[in-house]
Amino acid sequence: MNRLIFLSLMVLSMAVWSFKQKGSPTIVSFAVPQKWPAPKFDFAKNPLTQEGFELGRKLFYDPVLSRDSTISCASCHLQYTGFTHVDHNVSHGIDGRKGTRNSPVLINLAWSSSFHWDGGVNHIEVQGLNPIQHPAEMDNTMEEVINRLQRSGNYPALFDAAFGSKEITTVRIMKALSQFDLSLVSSNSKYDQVMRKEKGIAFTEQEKKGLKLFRKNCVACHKEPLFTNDFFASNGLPMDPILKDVGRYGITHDPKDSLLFKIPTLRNIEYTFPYMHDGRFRKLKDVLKFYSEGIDLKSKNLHPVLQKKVTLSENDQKDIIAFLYTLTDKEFLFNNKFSFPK
Amino acid sequence: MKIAVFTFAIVCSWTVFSQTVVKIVPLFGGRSIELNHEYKLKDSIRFKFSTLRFYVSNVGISSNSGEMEVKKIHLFDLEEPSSFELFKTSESVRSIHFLLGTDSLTNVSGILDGPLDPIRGMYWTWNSGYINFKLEGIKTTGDSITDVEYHLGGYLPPYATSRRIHLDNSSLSKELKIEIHLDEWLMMISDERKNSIMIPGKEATILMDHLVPNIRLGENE
Repeated sequence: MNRLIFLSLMVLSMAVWSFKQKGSPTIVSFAVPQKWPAPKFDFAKNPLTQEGFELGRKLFYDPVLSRDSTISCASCHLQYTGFTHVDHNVSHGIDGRKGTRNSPVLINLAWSSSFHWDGGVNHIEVQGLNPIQHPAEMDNTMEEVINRLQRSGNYPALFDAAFGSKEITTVRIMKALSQFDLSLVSSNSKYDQVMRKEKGIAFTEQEKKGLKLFRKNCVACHKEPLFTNDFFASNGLPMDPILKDVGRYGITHDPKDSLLFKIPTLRNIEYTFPYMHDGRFRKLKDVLKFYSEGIDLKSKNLHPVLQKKVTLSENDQKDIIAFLYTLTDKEFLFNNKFSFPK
Repeated sequence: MKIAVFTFAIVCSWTVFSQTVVKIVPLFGGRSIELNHEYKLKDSIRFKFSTLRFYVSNVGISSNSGEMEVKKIHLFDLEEPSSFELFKTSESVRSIHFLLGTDSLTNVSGILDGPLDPIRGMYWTWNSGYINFKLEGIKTTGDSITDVEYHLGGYLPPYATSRRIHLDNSSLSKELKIEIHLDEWLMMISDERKNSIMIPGKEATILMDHLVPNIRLGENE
């Protein structure tokens, strides 16, 4: 009799355990590349799960988020161009509306403490609210997005799988989208392979020269291995007379922040043109030329490093560009895991 | 059995009736404000409220038992009568203290739900952070009609807008009212301020400063 009771309890326990396993999302550990700093995002507060990531990916590629269901996050953040757009200088929204800034790349965001060119967004989980609600982007409301997802055939089940119930809320939508965004890690460029001393991988002579020049002239802001220091700076770019973008000042109202913009990562920069917050440079050679010849040393709030003229010969500029091309990570740009879900 | 039920009922009734209810009551000329009702501010200025929403957070009381927190976050909304009651307590309230607005930690904690869900229309997406106090309405000055929009928020110094409020209580009343005298506030700001403040900054902090002395504790008469 005792044995029967014991066996019954065992069977019951296993049934409970297997039920729990079936209902729980699959935790995915966030892999920090070798010798990289710890991420700034606290994954304990929004643990990555396979189901959360997949839901986030589906939302990222779904035009249902926009008011007229014509554009998705991917419309401005295309994977093969480093999750940014390349065909225009500022982002485009529904009805052909134009924004005022170049869409930023979505690369290694787990190491970022602020978002947008002016750093106005202080947490990745609230970033997605902007494009969805901005009149020049998706021009929708969260109420409408939630209604649409609730009415859709498959979303309630996906929310159930990711969060344990079919309830669809702002919080869950944003947490899923941020799980996808946080997973966009690019760490397998030629530069990375050389740094990891992988067999058979080496810089060319020109790339070596470029790296040396880069470390002398650029690394103060574009710090390795993330190729950004996550701060704001004015690089001396004069204000566009039409856009009149004051940058970080618009958030802090501190005159010292006037014309400061977030320092972008240079990873995959070969594919992320046009460059700068307003997309004014279409070619990397234009950017290098600007740093060498175009900076007005008296411009307001110019970064201290740039207050001493940067002198780069034409060959130096070419060498730096050759090095920057080693930051291209095709495994990232063409990874099916991040592509449109089929 | 009957005695047990009777005793239980007595205990329950005593617990309910011995509780102090603390409510938030926005006032205009000493009367509770109603949405879309026209109020006379000065001889030539009339005011109509269309939205009044604000956060009250980290609510605590001092009582005979000591200091205690009674509520973490509360969103008052003039459209939602259920939001008028801030808390109930069986303690004898000596003082109430709270933050008018949200604390800085809340503003940097990512996406939050309940009263803090951005769907409530109290969150700035372009400059992350909560609108601590939102008042919208129409001001009529003579024949001129102006939209008034005060979205007062911001958590970063020097333009942080949440304000610490401390209200002493000597009343034994079982219904305490946190009165917000908006007519007095609007009088203080009507001549010198803009009719629209939608961003964090100095003007928002000044308006919040002016709110503080107009928050007082009243009791049910």
